[in-house]
Amino acid sequence: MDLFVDRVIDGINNGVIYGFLALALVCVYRSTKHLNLAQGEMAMFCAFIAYAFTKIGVPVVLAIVLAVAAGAVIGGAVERVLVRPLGAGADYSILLVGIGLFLSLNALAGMIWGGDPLAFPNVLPSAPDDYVAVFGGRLRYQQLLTMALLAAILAGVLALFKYTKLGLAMRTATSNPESARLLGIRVNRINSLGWMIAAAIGGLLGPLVAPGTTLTTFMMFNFLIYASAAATLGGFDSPGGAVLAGLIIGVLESLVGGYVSIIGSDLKLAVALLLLVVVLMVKPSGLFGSKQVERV
Amino acid sequence: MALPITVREGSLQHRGLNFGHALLVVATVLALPYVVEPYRLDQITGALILAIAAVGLNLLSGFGGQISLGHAAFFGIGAYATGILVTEHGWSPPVAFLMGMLLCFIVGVLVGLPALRLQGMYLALVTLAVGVIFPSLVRRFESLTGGSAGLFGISYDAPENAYFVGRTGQIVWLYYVATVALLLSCLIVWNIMRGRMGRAIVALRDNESAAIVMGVDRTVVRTVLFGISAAIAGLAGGLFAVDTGVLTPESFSLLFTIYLLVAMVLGGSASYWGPILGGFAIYFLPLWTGEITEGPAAGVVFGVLIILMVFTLREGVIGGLKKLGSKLLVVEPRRPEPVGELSDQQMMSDAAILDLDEAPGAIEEASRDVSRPRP
Repeated sequence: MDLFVDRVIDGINNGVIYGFLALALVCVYRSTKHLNLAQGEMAMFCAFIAYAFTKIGVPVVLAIVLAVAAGAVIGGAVERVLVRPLGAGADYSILLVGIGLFLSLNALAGMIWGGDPLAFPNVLPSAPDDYVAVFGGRLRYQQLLTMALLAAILAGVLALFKYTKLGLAMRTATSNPESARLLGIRVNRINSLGWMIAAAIGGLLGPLVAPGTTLTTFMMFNFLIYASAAATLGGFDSPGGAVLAGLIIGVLESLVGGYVSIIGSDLKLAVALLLLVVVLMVKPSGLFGSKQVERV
Repeated sequence: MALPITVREGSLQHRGLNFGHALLVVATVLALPYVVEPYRLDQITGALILAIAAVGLNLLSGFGGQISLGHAAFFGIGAYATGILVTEHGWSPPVAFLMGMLLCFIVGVLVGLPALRLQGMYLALVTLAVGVIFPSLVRRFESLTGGSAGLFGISYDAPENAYFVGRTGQIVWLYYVATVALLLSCLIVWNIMRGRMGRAIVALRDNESAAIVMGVDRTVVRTVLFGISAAIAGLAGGLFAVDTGVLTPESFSLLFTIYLLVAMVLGGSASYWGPILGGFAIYFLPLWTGEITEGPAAGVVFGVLIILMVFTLREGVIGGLKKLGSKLLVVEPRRPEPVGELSDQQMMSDAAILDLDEAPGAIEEASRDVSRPRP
């Protein structure tokens, strides 16, 4: 029983990370309909920026806030300089830009901070007995904080889309950019905002997971694959679906990897992705995504 | 002489140019082993192998418009099939290549099945799944594949011949094998795209519903397309196995697929020379950036270079070259010849031809449109 609880909690913790990053992917997708392959690397870079701030004596919390701000700036800059000039419909080009950004951010971080794993401080106390006991399992403070922040951001994003004028404008700009422009909505700015929010979410996630994964240039690579899977499973245009799918994937992979011995730890990712394939065969637009209807 | 020079299609000059073009390619291929150092030739073989894989991917993604993030898996299946058959069962490499291609074709068709229902990002994710699962499967079935430690000792020895002596001879031999394989792959792609199947593929890419209404069998075309593309990637994988002699799961990671995609798009997707040029670019660019700068800085330069090329060469290197070429040389399309006795309408058709003559660009533009993917 204890082992079961441990595995579920382990899965939830990972699932929260997947959902977090998937939420960022969804924000980008909802603004410009692209998959940002560099999303994880941008989050990684923000974690390094936070690290640089803590090194010069800035308190951790403030360093993370600064990293989030840096993330928003990076996201906005990328949208303005690298995505917008390529125009709509340049899918392959944007994919390549993402790859180029991925490679250069990764190498740049390695160049500035070296290739060795670095230790990043926790925000909350993390001594061995700093945990909340749940059914005999242990939830660490830092993990609780990550969960709470994810819930808060998700609520914020949903509220933004549903209850504010800006959110309405964002939805309009996504569903029909042409009409939105005619209505006087500044579609470019809205798209920019989507990228900024996404990168800021990444900028928050990076420093939060860095204590657990240690700070390395490839810390986000696997998370990005899982997050893409989560976003697809949930439906690329549904923030809540993406987070929920992240949790499902996290728990399922932890349980299957733990209990089915043929699968072990090697094939955990394979299980997550197979699940994805099966779901997509039945429901091609994801669990909660809106169906794409094409006019012939 | 004023630029651009105008040449009529089918005229002596035009044929001469085409012939000269082909001659130049053949001469380059034959001369390379004598001109460049053996280590350089070895690198060229590596680039040729990447080019074959890119040609395979281009058939699916460039001409077919279906993105694949899983081609590293097909490349890997071909490589491991060849490796295992050659080392464990003592098969002769060419037969092993064929078996690898067959296996890839079958797996490709199976992966192509979900592709019938999915498009764009969702398809990308399914193929990504295939690509990511493959290395973990290799690690898992250690007894068969050698696992993370690797599969060793795969080779394709040159035949007993005075021409292929020693280490240098072996390098030259593999260079020729890779060249022939690339030629074969290009022929396959060219033949497919020239015929009925090719038109069906392009039609499905540009307007699926319209294509189906016109009688294109989507199920057959899409799955076979996936299979053939995978088989070509598998051939490249088999060559990779005999070229490097060592296979580890790390060689077939997601990064490899990404490199292939970069090769295809940088070279120019939906073109014949594009993926070949792209294969060379993707092989040699990291080597050169590595020579100019040290360590991680090379990665930064490489990444920035990719972004720069996306912005400066929207249609790939081939597109850029064509644009440059059209400033120097314009090939005027052949005049349509009046059919049968049209004495009454002769005047009219002449007038029509004159009209066309005034705007040769428009015809060329229209005839070129076929090979261009729609945004």
